[in-house]
Amino acid sequence: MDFTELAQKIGLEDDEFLELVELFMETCASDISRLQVAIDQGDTQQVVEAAHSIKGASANLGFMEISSVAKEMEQNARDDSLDGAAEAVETIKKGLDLIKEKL
Amino acid sequence: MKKILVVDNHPLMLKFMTDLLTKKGYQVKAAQDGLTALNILKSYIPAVIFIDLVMPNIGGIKLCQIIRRMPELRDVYLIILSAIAAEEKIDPAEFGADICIAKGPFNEMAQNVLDALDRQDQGISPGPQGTVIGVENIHSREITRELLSIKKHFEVILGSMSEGILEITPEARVVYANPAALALIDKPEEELLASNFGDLFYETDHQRIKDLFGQELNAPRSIPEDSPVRLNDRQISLNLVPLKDKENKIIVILNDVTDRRRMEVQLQQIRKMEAVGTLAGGIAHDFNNLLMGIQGNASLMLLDVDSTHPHHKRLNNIVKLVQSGSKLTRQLLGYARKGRYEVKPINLNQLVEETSETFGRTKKEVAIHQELAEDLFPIEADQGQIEQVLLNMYVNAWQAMPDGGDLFLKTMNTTHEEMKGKLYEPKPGNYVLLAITDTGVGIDKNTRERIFDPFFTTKEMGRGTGLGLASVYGIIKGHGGYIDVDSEKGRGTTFSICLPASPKEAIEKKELHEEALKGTETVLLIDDEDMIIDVGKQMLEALGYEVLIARSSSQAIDVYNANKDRIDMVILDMIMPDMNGGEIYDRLKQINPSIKVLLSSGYSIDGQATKILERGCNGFIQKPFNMEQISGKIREILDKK
Repeated sequence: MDFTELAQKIGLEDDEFLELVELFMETCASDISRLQVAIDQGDTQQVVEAAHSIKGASANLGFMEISSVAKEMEQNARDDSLDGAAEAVETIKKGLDLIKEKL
Repeated sequence: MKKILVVDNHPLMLKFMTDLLTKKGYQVKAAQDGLTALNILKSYIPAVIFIDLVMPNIGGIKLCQIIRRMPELRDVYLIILSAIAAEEKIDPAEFGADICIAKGPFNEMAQNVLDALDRQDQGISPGPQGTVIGVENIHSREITRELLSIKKHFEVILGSMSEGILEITPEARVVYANPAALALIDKPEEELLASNFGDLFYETDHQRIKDLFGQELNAPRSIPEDSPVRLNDRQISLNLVPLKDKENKIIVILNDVTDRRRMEVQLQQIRKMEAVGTLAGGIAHDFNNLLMGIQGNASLMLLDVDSTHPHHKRLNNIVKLVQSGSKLTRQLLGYARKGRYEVKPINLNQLVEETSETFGRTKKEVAIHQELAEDLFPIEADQGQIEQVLLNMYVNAWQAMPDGGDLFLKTMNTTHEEMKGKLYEPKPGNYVLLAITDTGVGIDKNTRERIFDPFFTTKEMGRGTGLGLASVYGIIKGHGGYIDVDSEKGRGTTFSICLPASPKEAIEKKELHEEALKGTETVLLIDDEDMIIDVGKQMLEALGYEVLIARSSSQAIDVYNANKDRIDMVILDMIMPDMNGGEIYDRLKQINPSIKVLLSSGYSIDGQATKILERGCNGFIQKPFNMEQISGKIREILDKK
């Protein structure tokens, strides 16, 4: 994952891009904790909303792997299924960890 | 430097747009929801506003509509920034936006945003109004559509609820209102949103609303049904439910309890009347018998003193006080819708003529004008009660005209259809209308609202009982009629009384005798009260009659059986301890089918006297009575051929 390349792709300077990524990390962190509580409680509506937020934001910045995992989780939750949701959260967290390493 | 406002609830989007536009040399402010945007717009007039569609605290569509109604922002360029706009095929022009740019990967979106601004700068339209730009690469359309359909599902529920639902911020600003709430508050949505919740209510309720928000709202709080607040002349109960979301927003449920409250008040009123009625009925019997005793003694003493005697005036005063005392019970009974002893078809015109003549003789400063319909329908009523109503109305009119004036009395036939548009819904049928108009001081609105309440009086303490109009109202209602008041301060008052017409023919009213008429016949007086027997016997003897007495029903039968050949008529008290008046009457009638009986009563259940009269009984007299009254009744019966 090359930040410079990603930044160029969406037409931003490196530092600007980094700022956005930091903000993205923050909002994702709160979305993730919301997700974990919602999955524990079986609250599919909350899962849909949190996953929807992660999906949109990651797509905005070009983190397409995270976006597609979140998208699948959102779709399942909408069908009232939380199968694989916990695993999906782990996958997203790993993706976020990779980004964090680059910051 | 062009000013721009960006409104979006996602921090990432907000930061990206702010950075992008600042870098391009624009002055940028950001708001995370519609409410914040409206706060900023109070002091910041941008040339362009970017607005996200789905946001908490006033969504994008509402925000556009509100902005378009603000005069200083009428020409601002509104750009919708949303993924959803592309899915829903909504026309941004419909709610006042100029164009719509779809959200997506930042690089594409940024290009579309900057292009739109450049073109707007150069005065070129970025596309026909209502254009949606950049929809090609939008992902996950299906999902967004579903998200919308869930939202719509809730909107259908909220839209069909009869309770008003508001969503407000902890600072009490309105950010959502369902249709029922809009109807209750009676304001257009654009005006209501972002306004202060407390300001919707009357100033007198402000403190209570403030108290509701006083401490942090952790649990539901309410303004309950039994002490509602007022909202546009409706009575509203409020339930505040904290959402416990991160913004601490509050759901307010508004319930219109006006009708329920009105019914409760009516029920309470009925109960109150029942209580007064029971009480008044209970005392009326004993009270009127007591008064009968006083009246009788005074009448007998008056026989022995001529008008030059110093006690003559005092005795007449006692007689007057007795009449006032009996009027008080009559009014209490009237208010409680009781006291209709003798209901028969009567001609209202005749009563109006007679009572107004009597009244006019004593109150010369009031000029009485009559306009009475010749073909007026008869009414079925208790004559004494209707007279009571009329005299009450005259006295009120007179009191409203301290310097004299005109009193107009008008009668006419009418129907329930012509009585429409009133507070009440009259039962179908023909009615008789009596309008009583004075040229007096008039009645203000506050007094008008309470005018028929018992014990409400505008007179100083000790001057009025507050029972006059309350008894009028009770009597009219008791007769199945309606009463209305129409008045303006300083311009006089009209009371309109409607009473149901009767298909029966009116019974001609006998003339009242001013003087005691003597006779020599034999009368049997039946009453269980020693006092009544005592004074009654002496009064009748003073009139020249031979009097036999009976103190119980069995005694009555015995005495009558033993003396049936010489007894010309019977005066029968309706309430006897061992047998009621009706039974004694039937027994006596068995002995002599052509017996002549005058009923007398201090108080009886409504219609009881009427029933006995219908079985052939010859007359009725209300205690307390004086010599003139009883002698008139006796002659009426005995002289009838």
